[in-house]
Amino acid sequence: MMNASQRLFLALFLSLEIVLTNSLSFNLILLLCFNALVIYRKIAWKRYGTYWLVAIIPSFGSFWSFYLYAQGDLAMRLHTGLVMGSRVIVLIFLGAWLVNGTKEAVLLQSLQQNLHLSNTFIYGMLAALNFMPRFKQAFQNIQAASQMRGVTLRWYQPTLYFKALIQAIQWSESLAMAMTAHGFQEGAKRSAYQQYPFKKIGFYWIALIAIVSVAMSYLPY
Amino acid sequence: MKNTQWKLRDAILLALIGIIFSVIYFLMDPLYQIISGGLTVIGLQAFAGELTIGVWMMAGPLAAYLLKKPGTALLAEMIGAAGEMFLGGYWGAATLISGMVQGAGSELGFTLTGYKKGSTSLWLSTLTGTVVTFVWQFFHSGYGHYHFGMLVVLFVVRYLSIFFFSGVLVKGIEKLLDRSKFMQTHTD
Repeated sequence: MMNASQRLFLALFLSLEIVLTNSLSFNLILLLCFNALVIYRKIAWKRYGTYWLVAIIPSFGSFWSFYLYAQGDLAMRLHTGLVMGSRVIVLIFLGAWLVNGTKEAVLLQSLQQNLHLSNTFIYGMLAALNFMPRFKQAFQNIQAASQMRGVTLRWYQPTLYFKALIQAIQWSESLAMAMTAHGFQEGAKRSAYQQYPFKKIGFYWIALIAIVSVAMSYLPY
Repeated sequence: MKNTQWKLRDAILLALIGIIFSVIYFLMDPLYQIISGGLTVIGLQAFAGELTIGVWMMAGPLAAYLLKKPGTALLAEMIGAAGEMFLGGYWGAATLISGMVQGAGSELGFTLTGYKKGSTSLWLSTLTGTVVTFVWQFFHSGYGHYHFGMLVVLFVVRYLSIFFFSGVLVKGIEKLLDRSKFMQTHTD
């Protein structure tokens, strides 16, 4: 229906709209829709459960904070609290919908093709993405190495970040060299194996959802 | 900061900085939960975000310092946010917008000083970062419903957090990088 870039645009538009709308019914309808969409993606139940689990504390916290300290009488504070509490959950499921249907690499590729972004940038990022799991390892190595010298590095100490950044600089050089060695040319015209064009029907969907959701934001309560 | 030309190495480094911080941001999420839960008990959950915001804004100024190019802070934050989202950070799509706002806030500080060297731009970026993200948070979290006094306290706490994490801590990292002379040998 929509390609990856279009899904991203829709998610960004809806996030903005959710944040600017003060309506509980609007939030609940969106929550129902995106919940259904997330389930439709057939994600593992454990993962689905985790989304609800992480939503509980910030959502209830937000509700309680507004219920106690917002302006206005009790009914108004209750409404504000409910809107803010449900807003958190809607945003979480909107994100879940986007992430579970889209691979990073596909999103980057389609953004590059659709918006004509610089290839150097996109390929640099694609290459760097592979290092994501290795950074966790790198952090552990750095901490272990300093433990050997009897120093414990904690997350608020600059040295930890300094060492990670040095690692990043070294990796970026090696990666750039490797890519050049494999024939990557900066600024050269490239053809793509996989094409991710904008889909016409996707734009109709976005327009339809935009109109309906804007109309929904005027719902009472 | 005249070099606006992006080399492959710079693009990769920028992405790597974004990714380092996306891992940190992701790891911060549970910590935020705990702080948030603790503060909920006394009904001050709003302060959880204010206290920890600084951590989420570290990528921008650091990338700006390392790469010295206009737009770096903004891009680094956006990559960090996207990475956090894909790692499974539960704020989802809102993370992307927050990342954009946070990056733009930090970036503004560097832009206002014309990307000059020295730490003035860093300190200014903590201030612009606070103002810009506070305005965003005002809408995002409905701060308009709070009393004025509460807003002032929220703003001050936010500034202190950003001042410490993306100011003092970032400055500390920069000092280490300067002292190591690593940057001089690795920039052409």
